[in-house]
Amino acid sequence: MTGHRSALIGIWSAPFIVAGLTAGFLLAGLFPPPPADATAAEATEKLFGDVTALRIGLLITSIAVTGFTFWGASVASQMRRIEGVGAPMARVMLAGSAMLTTMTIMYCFLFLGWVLREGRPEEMTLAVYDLFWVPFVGILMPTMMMGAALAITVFGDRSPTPLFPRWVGWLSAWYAIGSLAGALVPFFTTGPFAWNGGIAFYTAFTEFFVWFFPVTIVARRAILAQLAEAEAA
Amino acid sequence: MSTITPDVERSTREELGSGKRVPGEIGVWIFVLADLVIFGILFAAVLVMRGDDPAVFAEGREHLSQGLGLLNTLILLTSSMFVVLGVDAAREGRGSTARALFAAGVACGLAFIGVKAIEWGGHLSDGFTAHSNDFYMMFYVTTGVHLLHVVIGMAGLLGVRAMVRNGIDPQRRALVESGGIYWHMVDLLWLVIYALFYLAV
Repeated sequence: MTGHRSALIGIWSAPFIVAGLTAGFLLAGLFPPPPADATAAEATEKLFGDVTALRIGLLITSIAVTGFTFWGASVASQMRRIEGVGAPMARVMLAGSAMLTTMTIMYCFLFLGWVLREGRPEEMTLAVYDLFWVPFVGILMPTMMMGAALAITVFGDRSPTPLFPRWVGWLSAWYAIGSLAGALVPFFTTGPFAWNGGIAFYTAFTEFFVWFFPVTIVARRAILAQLAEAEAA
Repeated sequence: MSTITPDVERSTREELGSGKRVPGEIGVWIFVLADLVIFGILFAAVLVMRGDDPAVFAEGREHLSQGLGLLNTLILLTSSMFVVLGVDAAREGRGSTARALFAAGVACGLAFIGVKAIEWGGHLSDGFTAHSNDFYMMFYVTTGVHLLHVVIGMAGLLGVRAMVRNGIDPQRRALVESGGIYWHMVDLLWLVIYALFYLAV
């Protein structure tokens, strides 16, 4: 199998990610997100109410997010064509996507470790609940890195026939700035900026997919064109 | 060989009949529209929360300095004027004039930040933080996010200023116009923020 075809497989991880995240979030009760101002008893009920569903949902989520690294590697393979030798921004894209995968898995397993045994102290359960949700929604750095790296690469493409349209650069710049909404999560437990808020959770996740889907389509098109060129040669 | 990318070239040729064209790159309009949607959500949140607790918002507005709010509005409107004139000068190949006008735009941005720092400093020293009540939460976050856009816009204007050093080709013209469009968006957003928080429209 050529490197080109493997890049196409990486891009096709996008529907796998979306399907896995949807199933995992719903099963684990991550969607809709629970209240950020929950009491210790409420957090305990949330975690230990249906432990089996939580475990299966978190495992599905953990497996689904591995797709981000495959996806990032595929997009980076196209960015490398623009950047040439060294390709620093392609490496940042790959690093960002790998960080997104790693961090999400880590926080899912924090929950999985905590629910391994019953009878945990409620106050400690509330601490674990916060330690999961604040980073899970609030960590914006990996996706910000991915958006910024792609924007820099697209804007720097001086070829007469650019690989990505320039609007992808603008969209990526917008996403990189918009992802900063996550920075508000550590400050609030109620209102639109808390982890379950309309802006911090719903708007931020929507922003991500408004960026993710067009980039997937454009990258797939670039990979297909590369494949066609390779076959014609 | 021309180094003008097709997207930019096309955007500069986008005719609207009778010789008119869409200024800037197509992408900057995607950026602006997407950003306006996000701010629209933020403004809708302010309106919903104000509807839920009008007394807190009325009291909060009483504490805001109308003078400083108006001053910042005038500063940003003036900056937009400099940027409009700067883009015109750049289009006409008057590089040094354009550079001076963009620098004036950046200076206005710095003045805006200075006034905002005085205003925020006053509120904080009076004990009003983002956790005081819903009014201050929305005030600090909305004006803070806007301030971030001012800083990014200033960086954009500095980039545009550097671009017009030796005249501009069609690609650079589209980028210069894009910088101007972004700055006008920052200005437009402030007008809505001013009306929402200071004038309680």
